[in-house]
Amino acid sequence: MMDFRLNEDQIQLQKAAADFLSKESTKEVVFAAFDGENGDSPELYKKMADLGWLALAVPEDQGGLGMGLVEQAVLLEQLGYHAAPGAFFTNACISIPALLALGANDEASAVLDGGKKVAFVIDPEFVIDGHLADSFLVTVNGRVRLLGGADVNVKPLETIDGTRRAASVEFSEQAGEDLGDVHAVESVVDAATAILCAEMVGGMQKSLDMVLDYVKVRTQFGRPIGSFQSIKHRLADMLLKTEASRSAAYYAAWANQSSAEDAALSASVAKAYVSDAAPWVTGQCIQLHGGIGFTWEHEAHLYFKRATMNAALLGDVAFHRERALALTTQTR
Amino acid sequence: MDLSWTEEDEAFRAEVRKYLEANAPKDLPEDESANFEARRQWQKKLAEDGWVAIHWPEEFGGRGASLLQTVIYNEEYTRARAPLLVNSLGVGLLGPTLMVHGNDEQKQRYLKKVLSAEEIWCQGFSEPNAGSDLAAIQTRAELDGDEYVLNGQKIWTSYGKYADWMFALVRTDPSAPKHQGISYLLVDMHSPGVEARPLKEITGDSLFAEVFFSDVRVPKENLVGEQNDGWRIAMTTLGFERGAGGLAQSVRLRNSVLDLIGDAQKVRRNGWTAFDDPLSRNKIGKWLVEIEVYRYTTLRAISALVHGGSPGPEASINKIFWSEWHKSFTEDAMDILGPVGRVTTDESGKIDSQRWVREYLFARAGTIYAGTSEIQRNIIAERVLGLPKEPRGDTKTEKAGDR
Repeated sequence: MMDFRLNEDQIQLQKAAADFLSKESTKEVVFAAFDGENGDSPELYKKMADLGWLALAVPEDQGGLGMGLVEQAVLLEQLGYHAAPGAFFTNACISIPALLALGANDEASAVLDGGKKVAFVIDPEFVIDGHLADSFLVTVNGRVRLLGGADVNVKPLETIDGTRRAASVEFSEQAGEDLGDVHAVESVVDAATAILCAEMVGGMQKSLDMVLDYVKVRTQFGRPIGSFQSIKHRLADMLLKTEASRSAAYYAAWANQSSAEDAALSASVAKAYVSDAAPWVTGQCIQLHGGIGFTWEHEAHLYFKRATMNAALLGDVAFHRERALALTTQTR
Repeated sequence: MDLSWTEEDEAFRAEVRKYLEANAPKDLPEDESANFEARRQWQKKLAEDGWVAIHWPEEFGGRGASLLQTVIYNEEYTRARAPLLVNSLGVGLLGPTLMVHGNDEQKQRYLKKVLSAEEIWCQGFSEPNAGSDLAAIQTRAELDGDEYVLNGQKIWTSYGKYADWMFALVRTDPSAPKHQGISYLLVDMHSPGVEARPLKEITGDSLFAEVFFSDVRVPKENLVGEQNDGWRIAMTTLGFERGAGGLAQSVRLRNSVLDLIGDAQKVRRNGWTAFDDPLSRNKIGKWLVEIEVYRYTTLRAISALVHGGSPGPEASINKIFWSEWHKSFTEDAMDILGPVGRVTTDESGKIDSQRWVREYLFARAGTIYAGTSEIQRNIIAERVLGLPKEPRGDTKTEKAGDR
C-alpha cells in the first residue's frame, strides 16, 4: 500500500531520539567534541549504546532490536539534526551490518554493546572514524579481512569537521582473518549510503529552522528581514531542497530495506542529490545570518562542515551521478 | 512507510497498459489542425471505451476510480507516450468544478460532451493586467435582462482558437473589494462578439490565443454558483490543477532524459560521442538523479493525498521543482548536442533536433504558466514557512488569494 508516512512506532522513535539528543547532544557537548582531542564524545556513545541504538536495525535473534533501515534513517536524521559527534554512524550503519553479513557474529556483538569500535576501510588514505577504531575491516583482492589494532599502523587525520575525523592506515595484506567475499557487503554500503543521506537531511532541517527563527525576529529598515522577497525566495528554495532530500533519503532507505529492484539506484540517486543540496542549504544558513553566522560561536558552521564532510563520504556527487547513469542504461 | 503497490494496483496497471498498447495512436500528423483532429478522434475513442476521466463518478461517465488508480492510469498513459488529451482543460478543470459548484442542468448539459471531446473547452482566467495578481481581472459582465453582456479581453488562452466553450472569470461588481466582485461564467465561443486571435509563441507555434469580447451576450443560466462568488469557485478549479498528474509528469520528463541518452550516442563531438564525454555524462547523470528525486517527492505527495491529507501549498514545491528542472535540463541538452542540436531543418540528420529546439524553447513557459516560480516561492514562504507578507500597493486586498 502506497504510504510514505512514518508509522506510529517510527514517530515514537523520532520523538524519543529528539528528546534524548536535545538533552545529551547539546551545543556544549558538540563544541567540546569539536575542540577536543579526537572529536568524540564517549559518554554520548555509551548512552546511545545502552539505549540499544547501535543494534536498532539488527535482527532480534542476533541481539538487536529488530527494526529496519527506515527506523535507522529516522534515528540518524535526529543525530544529524543535533550534530551528534563520534563514531555512531560508521559502527551502527556500516561495521555492524558488514560483520553480520560476513557471519562474524561474535565480533558484531562486541560492537553492538558499545564496547568495541570497528572501522570499515574503503580508501586506506582516508578511513572515517579510523582514529577511534579497535579493529578494521579491509578489502584485499576482493576478499574482506578483519584486522586487529596491532596489525594496523594508524595515523589520525584532523578534518574540516572536528566532530567527524578520520585516519590513514597501513597494513600488511596477509594480516588478520579472512571473512569472505566483498560481494557480501555491497548492499550494506548502499544501505549505509541511504542512511547517511538521512543524517544530512537532519543537518539541513536544523539549518533551515535556525534561519527561519532568525529572519522572523531580525529587523532591518524597520521590517523583519523575513518579509523581504530576496530572503523569502531563498528560504523557499532551502525548503524545496530539504524536502526533496528527505524524500530521496527515505525512499532509498525503504527501497534497500525491501530489497527493491531499484535499491542500488535509489541509494546513488539520494547520495548524488543530497550531497549537492546539503552544503548549499547549510551554507545559506551562514549567509542569511549575516556576520554573526560567520563566527565560530554560532552553530551554523557545524552543520556546513558536517554537510561538506558527508558529501565526500561513500561516494561523492560525480561518482553517484555516473553510477545512477550506468545503472539506468544497463537496465533499459 | 510502505511504498509497494498492492496486487489490485498491479492488476489495474496491467489492464491499463494492455488497453493503451492495443489502442493508443502512434505517429500523429505534424500539421497542427490535422494533429488536433486526430487527438479529438482519440479522445472520442477513449470516451467510448470508458478510459477517459476515470476519476469522474460513474454517473457522469467516469469509472469512479480511486486517486491511486488515477495516478497509475496517468503514469501508464505517459509511459505509453499516448497523445495529450485534447480536451484536458474540460476534463481536468471544468468538469470537476461543475461537479462541485454546478447545478443539475449544467452537469447534464456539459459533462458528457467534455468527455467525448464533442465540445472543446478553454480557460478564461488570465488577462493582460491580471497574471500573478489574478484577482485583478477587469473583463466586465453586466446583467441586462436575462443575459450578461461581456466586454474585455483574456490572454494566454490554450486551445483558444479551437475551443467551443470557455469557463471564464468576469467582474460583475466593480465597486466590491477585488476578490468579491468576480463571477464564474460559461461562455459559448461561437457567440457574436467573441474573437480569438492566435498568439505566436517563441517556439513558432500558436498554442495560446488572445480572446476579445465585445458586447457578447451570455444567458444568465450560464453562471456557475452565485453571482460574485466566482473567486471561491476559481480556487476550486485551481486546486484541480495540482491533482494526480505529478507522477505522470515525472515519467514524461524522465522519457526526455532517456531520449537525450539515445541522441547523445549519435552525436560526435571532440573526437567521441557526446555520451562518452565525461562532462556530458555528469550532466545527464545529474538530470537523471533529479528526476528520480522528483518521482519520490510525487509519491510522497500522492501518499499524503490518499491518506486524507491535502497537497496544499506544498504543491508549489513540486511546481517549482519540475518546471525549473525542465528549463535547466533542456539548457544542458542543447549544450550536450552542440551545433547539431540547433538545426531546425526537417530531416536534417541522425537526431530529431527540431524536437530538442522546441522542447528547449517550450520549457521557458513552464516556469511562467500556472503561477510563475516567483509567485510559487512567495506562496511557499508565506503559507508554508509562515514568513511575514510584504507591504502591498493595493489596499483593497482583504485576504491572501493570489496564485
